[in-house]
Amino acid sequence: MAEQLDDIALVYQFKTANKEAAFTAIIKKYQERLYWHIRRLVVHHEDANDVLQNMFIKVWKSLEGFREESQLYTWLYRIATNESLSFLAKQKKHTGLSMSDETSNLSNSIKASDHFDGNKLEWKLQLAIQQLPEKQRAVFNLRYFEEMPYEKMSKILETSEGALKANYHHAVKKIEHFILNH
Amino acid sequence: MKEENTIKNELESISKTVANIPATNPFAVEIPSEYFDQLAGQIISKIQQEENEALPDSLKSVRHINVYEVNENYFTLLDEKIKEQIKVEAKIVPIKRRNVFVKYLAAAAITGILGFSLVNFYINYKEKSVLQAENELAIKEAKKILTTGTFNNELNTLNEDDISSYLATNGNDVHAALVAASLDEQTLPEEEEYMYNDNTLDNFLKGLNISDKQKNNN
Repeated sequence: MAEQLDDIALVYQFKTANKEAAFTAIIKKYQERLYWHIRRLVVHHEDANDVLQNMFIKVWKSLEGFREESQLYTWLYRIATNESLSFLAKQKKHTGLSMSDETSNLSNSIKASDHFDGNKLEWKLQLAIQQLPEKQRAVFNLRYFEEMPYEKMSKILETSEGALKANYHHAVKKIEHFILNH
Repeated sequence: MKEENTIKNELESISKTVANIPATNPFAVEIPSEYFDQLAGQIISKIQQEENEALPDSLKSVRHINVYEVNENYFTLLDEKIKEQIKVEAKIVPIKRRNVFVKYLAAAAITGILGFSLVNFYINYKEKSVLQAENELAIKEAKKILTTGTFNNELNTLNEDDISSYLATNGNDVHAALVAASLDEQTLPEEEEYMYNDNTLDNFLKGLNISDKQKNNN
């Protein structure tokens, strides 16, 4: 509730007073959460940085018309998710990669990391997540890493809570299978 | 914490293997150390650059040229000049911002209670012909507050403990409950309206049609 009131005040300040100060405060408040949400979807830091900056520029352009009946937090996550998924779709189209090529491309990026250690479970988990279809990946990340209630996820991903629960269940099962077999 | 446990239990029920994976972020070490400190500045300058590029060239070239002039010390002396011109003391609203909503509800409840208490006092006064100097004074005080619209001033003299203790002892008052039940956050007046117009609260309470609802309930 306090967070929501704070957001309402920031949006009000953006619309009526000092736009830049209010927007800077919004960025600072949400940048880390959104960065990690995007990073887990697109994997590369440079790509995550591009998507994050572009999404905030879109937010700047649309915040004037933002209606407070939806929460700023939910709205930002929705934009971040859509921007990440459309970034991956564009990349796939641009490189002509199939879904499995894309998966191995992202997996190779993870393996190419200086700190990668294939024996560590946390890295295996990252590889396992890349095997999931994009939307299922978003569902798993939001639930597992961000501990988000289904109700909020439902607003962000515009999917029913029942479908999200089923998605999460399938995602966990696929990850379990990957971990036990690699 | 509750949600955290729900998620943990849910995961354990689906897969103990996945639930036992340490919740660490292996990518965290790869972020440049000052990345998040500089991000907001980078985004704002990108926005400014985009907006600047969207301007026609003729406007771009003159954007930062100011054709107007002011006296040399204008800005350094400005605040002093303004202070000199302020004759009327600024209205002070001593309600802490974080507690505005709680006080607002409390104010609505107390106003309702005062109003109904006043009516009850009058009825008792007529029926029982009980005239006590204390009651008469209280009625006069309450009536004055309600008719002159100085409720806010009176409210400002109350501290949070007074309000809490009043609500603790009178919180089950049927009228307070009626007022509380009639409140709808969606229809509450804007905070500014309440702050700057003493009649807003009274008008809002009239709009609730408490008396009609009470008759219906009876």
